[in-house]
Amino acid sequence: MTAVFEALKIVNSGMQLHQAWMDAISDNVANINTVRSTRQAAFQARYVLAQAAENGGPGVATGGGVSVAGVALGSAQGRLVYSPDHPLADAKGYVRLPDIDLGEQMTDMIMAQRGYQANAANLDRIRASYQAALQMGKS
Amino acid sequence: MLDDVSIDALQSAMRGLSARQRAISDDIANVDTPFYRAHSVTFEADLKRALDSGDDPLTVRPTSTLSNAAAGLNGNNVNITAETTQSVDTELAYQLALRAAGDRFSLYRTAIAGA
Repeated sequence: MTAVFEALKIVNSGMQLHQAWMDAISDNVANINTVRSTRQAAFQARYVLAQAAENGGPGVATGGGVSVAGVALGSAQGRLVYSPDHPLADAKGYVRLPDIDLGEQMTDMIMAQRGYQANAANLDRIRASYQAALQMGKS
Repeated sequence: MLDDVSIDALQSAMRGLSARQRAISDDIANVDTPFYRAHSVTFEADLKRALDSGDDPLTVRPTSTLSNAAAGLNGNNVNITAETTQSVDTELAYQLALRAAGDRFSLYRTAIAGA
């Protein structure tokens, strides 16, 4: 079943996906210094998995946008850091930090941001098209 | 009286253009989806053929083809520059078709209501 303004639904799905991606990246960056004891798993970075939706519009298969297929988690192992003064340090003086590469996260952030912007710009054009169609025969 | 072939042709074109706009939106939404292949919608050649041979333009169905362009590292072959340009082009073509249909309707309005 296709929506009346199907293209808006597709644009919305793209914005939702990139928003989810940006949220995940923000969370990863916010937790980049989250220290855990060595008995616990490290904070695991979240990676949003995108999947194309196959249902098409009327008449021709134009695709149905994109959806979040799931979230993959980064290393639970993290990396061990020697920090004997830390209150969470184990007997040998180690704590567990997440294995998150800030450079990778920031690169992903730019990609997610640009993807969001591309969809937002497309939203304007779709809106203008539908708006014009609604005005047909009025003048 | 109102079975005007130009209105049918414009309707067929607008159907094709709106399908193309959806396909482009889908490509843009999937700009970061791994292994996604871009697609494009064509109908112009079929519409022209139908009009040339006097067939009903409304029987023309837009066709969707997958792009064979080289993919990037994540297996995605969406070219965002081309998609954006095409999206603008499609939007303008759509508005042009709407304008043409609207003008056609006002012609009828004039004929019906008088000057």
